[in-house]
Amino acid sequence: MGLWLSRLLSLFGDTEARILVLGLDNAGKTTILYRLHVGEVVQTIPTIGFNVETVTYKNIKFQVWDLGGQTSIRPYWRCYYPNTQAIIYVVDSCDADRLPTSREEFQAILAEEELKSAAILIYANKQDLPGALSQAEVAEGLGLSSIKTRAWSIFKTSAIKGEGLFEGLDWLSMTLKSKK
Amino acid sequence: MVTSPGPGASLSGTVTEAAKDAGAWLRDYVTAIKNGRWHPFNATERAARAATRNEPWGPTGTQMTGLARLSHNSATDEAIILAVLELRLRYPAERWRNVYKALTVLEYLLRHGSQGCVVSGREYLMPMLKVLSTGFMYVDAAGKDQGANIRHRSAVIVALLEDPERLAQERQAAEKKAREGGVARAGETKGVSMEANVANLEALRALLARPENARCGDCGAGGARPSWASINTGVFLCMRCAGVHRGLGVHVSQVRSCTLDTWLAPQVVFMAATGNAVANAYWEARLADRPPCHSLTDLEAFVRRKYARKEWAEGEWPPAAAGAGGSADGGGERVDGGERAAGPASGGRAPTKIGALPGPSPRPGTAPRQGVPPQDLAPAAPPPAAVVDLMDFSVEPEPLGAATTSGGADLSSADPLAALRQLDFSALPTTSSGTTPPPSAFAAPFPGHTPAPAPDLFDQLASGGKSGRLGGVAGATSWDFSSAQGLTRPPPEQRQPEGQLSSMRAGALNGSPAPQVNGASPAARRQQDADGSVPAQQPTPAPGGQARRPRLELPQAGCSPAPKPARDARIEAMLQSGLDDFLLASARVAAQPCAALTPGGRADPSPAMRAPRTQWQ
Repeated sequence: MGLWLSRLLSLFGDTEARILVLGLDNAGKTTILYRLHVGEVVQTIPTIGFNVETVTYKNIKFQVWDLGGQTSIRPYWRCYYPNTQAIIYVVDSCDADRLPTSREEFQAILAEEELKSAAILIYANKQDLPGALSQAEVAEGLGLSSIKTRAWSIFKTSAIKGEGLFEGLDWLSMTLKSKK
Repeated sequence: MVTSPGPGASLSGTVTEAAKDAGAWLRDYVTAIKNGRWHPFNATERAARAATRNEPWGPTGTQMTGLARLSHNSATDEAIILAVLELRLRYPAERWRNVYKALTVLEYLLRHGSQGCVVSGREYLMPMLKVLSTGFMYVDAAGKDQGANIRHRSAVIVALLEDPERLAQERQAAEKKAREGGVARAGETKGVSMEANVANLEALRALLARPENARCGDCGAGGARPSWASINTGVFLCMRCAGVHRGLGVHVSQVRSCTLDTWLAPQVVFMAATGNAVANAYWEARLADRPPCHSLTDLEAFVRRKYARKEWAEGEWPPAAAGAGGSADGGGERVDGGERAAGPASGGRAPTKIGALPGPSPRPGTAPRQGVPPQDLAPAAPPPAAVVDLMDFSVEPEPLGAATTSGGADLSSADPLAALRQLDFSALPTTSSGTTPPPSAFAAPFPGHTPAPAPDLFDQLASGGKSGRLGGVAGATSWDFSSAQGLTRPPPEQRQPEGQLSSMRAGALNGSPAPQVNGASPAARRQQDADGSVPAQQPTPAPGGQARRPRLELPQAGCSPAPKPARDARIEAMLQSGLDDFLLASARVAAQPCAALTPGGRADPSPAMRAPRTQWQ
């Protein structure tokens, strides 16, 4: 009976989504990935390459790819673009100096043909640190207001404290479900 | 075609490639003899034949790109390729596959090959193409009309040749794409030209070759060669410490990779003026004894006390000699456009005088460092000479006493990149004396590999590729794993690069690495930062703590971290006794060409990540 019920449920539930976590180096991508996956803060080293984990949340299986952010690795992000349903773009809210660089990378992502239909979730990360830019400042720095044609949303997060991450996933799961 | 097995290729892959190549060569040789020639075809002809062979696959993208490149190479090569294509186009109908592949190659060459391909295509091949586009018929035994594809393809080519304007447009588009194609030009970034960045990275390599920078500025005895740097605290770091630094926030430390990131000239100049010796003379001025850092937790506490709370710092930072330099320029990669356009040294900051770099004396905080290994102390004296050499601008060097106001290149007015280009890095004692700069352990395992811009990327690929995890938490984990147990490390000559060793070890012990869960609670960590208090006792990640870990599922084989197995005393004892043997064994493995390190027959999860290697070779 239970088996039958769970089979029936899984027939309706569990859709899968392929998510890329992108952003400049040291934005907190890997920490976010493992915060979502393990629920704890993991001591990371710089990602040279990628990490991939599956996070199940609200009946959606997110296959989350966390790609390295160093300058010379960024050109390889595009190899991961095909069949991606959503982008999580992570910004280090404290690194105001590099916000323009982050904006360039972000706008380049928006311009990608292969990501035309991808939902965009922005995490203004590291809100726990002193001097962090506000959500609005990050949104302005990235030029979010110019996005008219697709779903996007920005959340202030702290991967260390675990704040804001799942609110973002809530929005993402809703957006992905409504698209289907 | 000689295959050059790269470090990333697997051994079996290399053997298969070699066998294939030998087979192809034999086949060409036989064909040559059949045609009355006693010598085999030359490389160009063989490449053209290989691309148009009677095989159900290909021509591959690599083959066609290679042919296009050859056609640009010389008129002879171009003529040879076209001759082979013409030969193939004349084949009888039952050899339709050769004909079809020749057409595919021809179409590609019209777009990407030399202009000569277009001319001869139009003049010599056109009549033949027209015949093919209407009259080629072949129905195979199964009743399938194989001629249709050929008629269609040749009609497309004829149309392309008859419309010079469209062809010119498409050729232009193809050229533009090749020029801009992200992957093809990895390393090029906005604002910093490829050449300037290569020069900057080269300069960093020279800096890393200096004896005081041969060890990580924080963990020191850790044995890993630094390939990361903090551009505002002025230290060169190993990857593990770079990870810790990144956790401090950019207001404390801004970390860049010496191989994977884009650098600006002022940043390099700043690193040249500081480096581990100068920086630690400031950051560790009042540090009598470096506390032992056995675990990541210890290390993190140490780094926090050193940089965030400046417990041992004394003197002035940045050193007067280094000036604002690169440190103040958090903008990093950006020099063009926007409000930062005027370059890093402008914008209200005091102009930086590179001419006033540290002479022998003006090092701030001259207190001798005590907690340093003797290897560090010995070379600590000579750097002034090296620094002066390093800053060998075309300008006459100022007397050493002359401070910041004296002449020299002025960053604010001159092009900083131009200033950097003048740095005479060849004059460095370490590089000129014939002892090649030690990307030491990195260069050694790969005989065919020049110590190119990204040695740590190579190592990551070579070792981490096993699990599909090229970076992330892997290295941190296994390091902690061994050293937390107080294991002795082997003497330096047996040591391996951190990433390589750790992932091999992790691979041997539990198949794939587990994420290191930080022992300190987030709240405690933040509190440290906020009010400067350190929790009395940093909780260490005890084995018991592992039980608390939530479920770790394995969504993809080989791609996810597995939980660390619970270790009992028996296993620990075994590890302690056996690890030295294991390290010796792994040293032997690493001494072999890297090809042996990657498992054969396994699909590489990140083919894209391999590309930079071929580019830098």
